[in-house]
Amino acid sequence: MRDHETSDEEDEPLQARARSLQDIYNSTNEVHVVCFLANSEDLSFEEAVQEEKWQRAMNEEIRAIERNNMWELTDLSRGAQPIGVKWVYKKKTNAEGEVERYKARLVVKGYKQKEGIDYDKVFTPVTRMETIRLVISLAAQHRWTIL
Amino acid sequence: MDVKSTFLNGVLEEELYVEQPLGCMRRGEEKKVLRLKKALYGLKQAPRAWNERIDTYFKKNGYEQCLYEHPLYIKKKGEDVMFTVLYVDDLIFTGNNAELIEAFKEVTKKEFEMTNLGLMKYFLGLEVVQGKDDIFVSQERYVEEVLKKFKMTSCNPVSTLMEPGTKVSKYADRDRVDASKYRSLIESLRYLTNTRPNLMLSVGITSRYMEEPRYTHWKALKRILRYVRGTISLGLMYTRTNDY
Repeated sequence: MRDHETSDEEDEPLQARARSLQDIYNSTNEVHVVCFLANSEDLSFEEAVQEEKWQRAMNEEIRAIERNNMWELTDLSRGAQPIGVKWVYKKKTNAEGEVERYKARLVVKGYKQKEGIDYDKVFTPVTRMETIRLVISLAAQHRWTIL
Repeated sequence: MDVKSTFLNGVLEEELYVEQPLGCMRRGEEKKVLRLKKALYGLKQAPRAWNERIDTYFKKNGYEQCLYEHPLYIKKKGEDVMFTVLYVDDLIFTGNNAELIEAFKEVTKKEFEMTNLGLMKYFLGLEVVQGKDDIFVSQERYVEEVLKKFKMTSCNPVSTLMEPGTKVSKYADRDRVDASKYRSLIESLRYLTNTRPNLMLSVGITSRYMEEPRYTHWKALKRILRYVRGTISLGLMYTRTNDY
């Protein structure tokens, strides 16, 4: 399989002074970087909750999550460790640079997850550009439209 | 077309708990936790869970996964054939029976929330123009971005990729240049070869000096960019041929 696999890596011996990312994550309590959400607002929950617009954004997100039936309230099963969550706030601007929408997204502190316990498979296949070009040329040859 | 809030669609296999988020603690039940049934953003397995979900969906609908290229799905039904390529949350469809594709799109729309449902115009940075008898693919917007990034928007265009008779060697001169900037431009030009295969040779040559680039190499690399600047609208034209 040509998948991007990160789960079955061999345990490589760590070099003496090198710290693994996991070590760094474990020793860090604060979230310093939320790299997958660029240009998010630097705002804490305590600050955001003071403002009505962010309150509304958070309520909206919670409603969307519950509408999708994404979680249920339970007691923690024995031995399990809950993962922390965090709010990320974002101002959505339109082409003119005016703020269009205030968005709050609930994210999981995924870096606290432990392999084999909280997850084991993470790979997801991505397509090669050659495949895209192949499909395009096929469509051109047969006069198909691509949607 | 693309799927909205993609990762929230993935169903989780693992037993996973998260703390109650600040701002919606239930009174009297603060000790309780939330068991996740679907993926949230930030979860390590969120992309995987989404892929699993859409993979199952395609297979349930009569698609066969290509053995050698997993994001490609093919459905055959008598004389009819349909192709679907998946790139995380982006999907493209094509095939010989437009009605069949339309019908499948309608079904898919009921399963997931989708946007951009028309003709494919933009995919992975490729700009696509579908004509009556041909399809044109280019990366004009991408070139603009690269030119901007390397502050070459108003450079003088040239008509050749390399100066004739150019000799480059590892120790061409003594002036070292910023290696990460050099590599970054190489990377950008490599992506451009997707629709500009004629850049391949010169980008290949300049790539050899990525480890310790010197001023001469940087100049050669920038020359490629100047060529691109003058030929910004070029791309690939896919046409029909009779002896297929």
